[in-house]
Amino acid sequence: MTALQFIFIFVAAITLISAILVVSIRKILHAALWLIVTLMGVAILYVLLEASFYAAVQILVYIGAIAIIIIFAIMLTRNIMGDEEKQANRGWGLVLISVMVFAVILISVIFSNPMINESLVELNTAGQENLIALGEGLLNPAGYALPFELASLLLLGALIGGVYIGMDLKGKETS
Amino acid sequence: MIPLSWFLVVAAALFSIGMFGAIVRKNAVVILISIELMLNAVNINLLAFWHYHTQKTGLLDLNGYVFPAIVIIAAAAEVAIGLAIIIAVHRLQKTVVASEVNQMKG
Repeated sequence: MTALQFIFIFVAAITLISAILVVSIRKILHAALWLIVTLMGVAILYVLLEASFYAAVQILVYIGAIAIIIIFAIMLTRNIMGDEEKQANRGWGLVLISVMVFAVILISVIFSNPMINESLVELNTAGQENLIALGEGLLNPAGYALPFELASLLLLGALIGGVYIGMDLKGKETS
Repeated sequence: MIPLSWFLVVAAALFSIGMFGAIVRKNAVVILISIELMLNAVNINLLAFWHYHTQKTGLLDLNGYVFPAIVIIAAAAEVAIGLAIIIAVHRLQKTVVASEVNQMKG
């Protein structure tokens, strides 16, 4: 086993264990903190896939923004649903069994394909830089300029919608 | 080096864990967190296949490299709107339990 495989197994184990803790731990704030560990593990997996740009984006967007506003939302709403209440729906054992069956089916489908055991080797793309290609592709009208601009529109819509939905309209009318 | 299947197995396990959380948990915030786990699993898959395809052809495959960015943008928009809805529901109804929000039930 090479060092890279050892690192992969270590990181994947941390990622999956903290993901299990995210969905099973009783305290919601702790779930959000374990989510940060999971996202960090996924960022390291991106590094192992030589997608360093996405590792940086993962840390900036997921850990820096999404995890933080999730923690904000938990702190704003935690006085309603105490941590000692039951956190799982009825029949969670049945869901656990069916999700495990789903996972077994997924993994057996993965291994039914012969190309799947090929190793990922270091990329040998001489003279091509990931980031430069990505930037040119995102701004090239024949490439991804339209989805890129639409994504910025989507983010603008989400921003305005988030502010509008979160605004206290009732409180404004009474004051 | 690392086989392609290892990444796919990790992604499948992460997706299943996220699906379990999204179905089982009561708190709407934890449901959103579970959806984030599922989206992360999808991104691992996309980047693993991007790497595989690039090493096969020797050319940088831009299609696979752009797609995770779109997924991340969609995830950011989704979590912003989702948390705004959760906070609005919390203000109006004093609950964050997804099954208790049932005014639109027919």
